[in-house]
Amino acid sequence: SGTEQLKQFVSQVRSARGEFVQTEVRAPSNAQQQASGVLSTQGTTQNKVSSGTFTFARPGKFIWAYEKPYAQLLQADGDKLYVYDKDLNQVTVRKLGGALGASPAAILFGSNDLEKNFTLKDAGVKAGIDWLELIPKSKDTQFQRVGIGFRDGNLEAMELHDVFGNVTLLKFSNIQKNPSLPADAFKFTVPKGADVING
Amino acid sequence: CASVKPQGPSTSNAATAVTAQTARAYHGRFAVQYVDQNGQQRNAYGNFDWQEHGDTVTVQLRNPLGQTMAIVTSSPATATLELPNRQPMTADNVSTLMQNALGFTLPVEGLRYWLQPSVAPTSKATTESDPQQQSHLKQIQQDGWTIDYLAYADAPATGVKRVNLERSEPPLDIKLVLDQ
Repeated sequence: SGTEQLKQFVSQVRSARGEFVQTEVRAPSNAQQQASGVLSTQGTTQNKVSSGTFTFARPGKFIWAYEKPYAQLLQADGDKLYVYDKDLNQVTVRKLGGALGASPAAILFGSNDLEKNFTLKDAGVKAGIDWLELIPKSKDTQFQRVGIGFRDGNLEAMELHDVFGNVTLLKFSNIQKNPSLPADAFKFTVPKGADVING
Repeated sequence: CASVKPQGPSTSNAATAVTAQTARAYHGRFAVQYVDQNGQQRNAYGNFDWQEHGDTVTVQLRNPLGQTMAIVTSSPATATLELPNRQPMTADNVSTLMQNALGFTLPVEGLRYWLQPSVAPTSKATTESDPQQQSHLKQIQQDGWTIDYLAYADAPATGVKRVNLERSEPPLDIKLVLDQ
C-alpha cells in the first residue's frame, strides 16, 4: 500500500537525486469569483509548468533547483535554508528550524517522524500508482493535504493541495536512491555579486 | 418627458466598454524588504500571479513550491485579502489591508499602470526615458514611489522584465521580475 511504501521510502532512502516537473493547476480564487461576479475561465486551467533537479540527504539537507522557465534554487544544509533567485540576483537566508516542519519538503527531506506532523491514509491505486494522503495535524499550514504516489517502492509523484484549492503536481524521474554524495554536497556558496538578505 | 438628443455613444460608455475588455496578466517573482512594527528588518520572497479584468485586479502571492501565501483582490469599491486558514478581510483600501496583515504592501493601484509600463493617470509624475532607447521608460517618480525599469523583455516580446520600486516613507523596497 501507499503508506507502507512511504514508510519504507522514508526509512530506507537516506538520500536521493533526481529530476522533477512541477505543474500548477490554479483554481479560481473565490474572491476573484465574487469580485468579478462571473467565473473567470481565464484563471482556471492556466497551468504553469516548471522543471529542475533535486538532491536530498536526511534529515534536513536538500537542493531543489528550478531550471526552467527561470533559475531559482532552494537549498538547505541542515542548518539554514537558502533561496537564490538568479534574475533578482539575491539570496535569502533563514534558519531551517521549523521552516520544514509540516511543509511538503519535510516529507521527502525531513527527519522521518512523519506521523508527528501528519495523519497518513491510503488513497488507492490510480494509473498503476499507489497513492497515499497526508493531512497536516497543525491547522495553520499553507496546504490542506498532500498526496504521494509510489510505483513498486519508487517515488513517482506528489500532489500539494493548498488551502485555496490550488494544486501543485510534482512528477519525479531518474531517481537514484542512496547515491554517494561528497561531504560538502549541500554546502551553499553565495554566487558572486548576489545580495544576501537575512531573516 | 423631455427627450435628450442622442449624440452617439458617450465617451463614458465607450471608456467603460474599453476598461471592461482590458484583461492583463503578469506572473513572475517578487522580493520585498521592509521594516516591521517593532523596527525589525524583514523580507518576503515568492512567486506572484497578477490577473487584471477591467478594473478588478487579483494578485496571488505564492511560495516557490506553489502554495498560495495570500490573495489580494482590488476593485474600485473594495479590497479583499485572503490568507490561509483565516477569514477574508475587506477594506476600502488595499494598501492598509496588506500593511496591517502582512507587514508590507504592494502598490496594486499604481502597479496597474507601472507594469505596463506607464504613468498612473491619478496624480502628478515625473518620468525619465532610456537615453539609448527613447521608447523605453527608465524611471517614474509618482505617489512617493521611485520606479526604476532595469530591463525589458528581449524582442519579439515587449514589456517590462525587471523593475524595482522604492518608497522612503515608510521604507519599502520591492524587486519584481516578470516572466514572459
